[in-house]
Amino acid sequence: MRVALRTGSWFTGVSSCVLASLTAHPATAHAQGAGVRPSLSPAVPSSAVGAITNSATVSVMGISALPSPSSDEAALPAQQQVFVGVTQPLGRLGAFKLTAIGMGYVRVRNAVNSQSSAEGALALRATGRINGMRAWGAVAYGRANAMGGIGGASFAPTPGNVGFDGGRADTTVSRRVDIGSVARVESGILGSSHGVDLSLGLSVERATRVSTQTISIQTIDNFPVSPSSQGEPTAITRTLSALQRREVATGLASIGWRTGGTSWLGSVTAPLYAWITRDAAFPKPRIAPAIASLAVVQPVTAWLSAVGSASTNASTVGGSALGDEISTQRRTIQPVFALGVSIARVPTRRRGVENNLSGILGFESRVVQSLHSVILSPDSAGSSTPDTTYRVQFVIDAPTAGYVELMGDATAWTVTNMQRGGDGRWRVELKLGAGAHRFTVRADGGDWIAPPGLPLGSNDFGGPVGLLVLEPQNAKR
Amino acid sequence: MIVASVVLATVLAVGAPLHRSVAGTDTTLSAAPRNAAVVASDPKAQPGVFDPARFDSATTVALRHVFDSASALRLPIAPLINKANRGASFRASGRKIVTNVHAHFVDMLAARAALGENASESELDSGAEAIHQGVDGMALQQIRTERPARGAAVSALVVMTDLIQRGISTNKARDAIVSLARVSPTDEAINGLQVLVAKQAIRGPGMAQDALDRYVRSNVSGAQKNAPNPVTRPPSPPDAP
Repeated sequence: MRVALRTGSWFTGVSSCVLASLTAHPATAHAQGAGVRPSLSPAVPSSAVGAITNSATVSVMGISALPSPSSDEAALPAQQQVFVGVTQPLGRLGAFKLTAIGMGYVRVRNAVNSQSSAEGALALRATGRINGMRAWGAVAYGRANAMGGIGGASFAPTPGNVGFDGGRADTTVSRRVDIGSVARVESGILGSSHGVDLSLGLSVERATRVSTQTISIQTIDNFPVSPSSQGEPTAITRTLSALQRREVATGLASIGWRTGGTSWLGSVTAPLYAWITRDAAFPKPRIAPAIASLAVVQPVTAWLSAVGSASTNASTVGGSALGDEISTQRRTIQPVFALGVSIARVPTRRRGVENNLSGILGFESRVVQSLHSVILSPDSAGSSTPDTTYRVQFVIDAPTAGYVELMGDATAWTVTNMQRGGDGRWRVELKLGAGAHRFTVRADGGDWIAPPGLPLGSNDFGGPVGLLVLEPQNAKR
Repeated sequence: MIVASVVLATVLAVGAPLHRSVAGTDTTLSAAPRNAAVVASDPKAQPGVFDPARFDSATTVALRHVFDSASALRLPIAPLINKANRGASFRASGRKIVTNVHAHFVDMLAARAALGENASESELDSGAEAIHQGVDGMALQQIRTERPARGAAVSALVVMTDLIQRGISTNKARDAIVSLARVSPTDEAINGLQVLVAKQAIRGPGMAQDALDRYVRSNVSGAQKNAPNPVTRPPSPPDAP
């Protein structure tokens, strides 16, 4: 009696963004007999640029992959993927900010005998500034399992299947469970130039999968397979396990820019090198897919905020913040909406490489921080003169920010660092004369914004400014 | 997820004549935590002083030409220097910096023609920004009529620019500011309008426009209803002492 068992050995696991790369995508390989081919790697659209925020976020994102245009049986099927993620700032360790990241992922494939898979991962990320360059590093661990029956055509009863003893055999796989894990270490740098954010990163992961299959074998001839069968059909149940382990290094490159209130995020990930250290299956896996994506992120209008904030979070969306942004709107939750496309170049055994197109839809809600207060008090030295000078104190409530900067007319438009107080708020005190004074602030090297609450000045150079008006003490109308 | 605390802008105004202009209705009085404050003082950064090292040589020459022209016409050059410094900080090209500084210089001339020779530096600066946003000189003259004291028109001009920046049409912004300036001798109503429009502008320009209309209707008509002597002062010439 011969057992016709082949096990797919593809690892799918290289994703396209930081957060996604923190996600476990271990080995949801599908045994489909001669048609063995990889399932698609999750084509997460966001980039390292967007995912680097340390704000508290909740996100939901859906990706719908189109089926391969090929009519080949081995073509890539359509599939739907849903991501849910959260990030939560934990605090600081020296010059680095620590953030916890959690993520869940469910994939459903639209194919006969389709399987779904679920994954979850936890990560700890540190961000900081090294020689003026923003940098991040993260460690992550995730678990995954593929659910459902295998049911491939090659396992159906076929007249040609002949057992070891020469009799025909009916072989079915009654149950299969894939359990995988991924441990990942990654790091990268993030810089800005002329309004364009660039990020480069490298991740190294070890993915392990154990596939356990319970196989029932029933002879359908009248040949007894054991003395005790006495000529009756006999069922034999066997459990087979296969261990696969792979290390892969992946390069990440991302770019982000803004046009008005809209953010554009592009990213490319590609496997640089893979080591197959343990593979009990045949044939050997090849490379992981390279993925390119482009997403446009738009702040959600107010009427949609309720919907967005109720269901959202998308660190994976990419988001509109490159750092811990300070809100110009004095709101604590800032939803965004993302729409994008992703193209994955997926290696297949039969066809070499296939391109697979996906659509992206996502919401993110991010807790943002805002200017807390501007405190004015007259300068004691000049309080009695007609041209009064004031001691003006700006207070920014950004407890998770690594640093907050201010510049304006009063600082000759040179960057002035604000000082962190014991309450987590950032303060700077300036001496200003009567009149209108322009200011702009930012946190963690993010975008300059007009201090919330101040009237807006003209935005001639691409950086919004706010105007603080101090009237002379002897002002008369 | 821990939701960060809701933060509101607060203002501590110690001293009677201090102007609000920051947070409007969210004003809270409290003691200033002076021990946590730091006075920013960069010895190299002198506000209003031109630093050629921040610009390339061609830009420096062009900027000096604009500054000299302003000085010859007795215009304050500090707003022009601030504008140039702002462009340098935002890494604008030299050409863009010179273009914007020159445009501001021209707008300041127009603002002085409208606001009068007695206009303060901040008034000229704010008036130039308003003109840059499409406000005509006549509107500035009307504001000067309602705010004749030197330096008293700054808030009205700043808020008018702010309204336009938030999506209010130029004509509506002008009419609203002039109307509010006419019915109230203080800037409280104008500042209240700025806060309201800023809040509603988050929901879109349409909401901001509606809020502006309602605010002006309620303030102007209410004030006129209760005012025993409506303001009927004829506009005075801009250069009148």
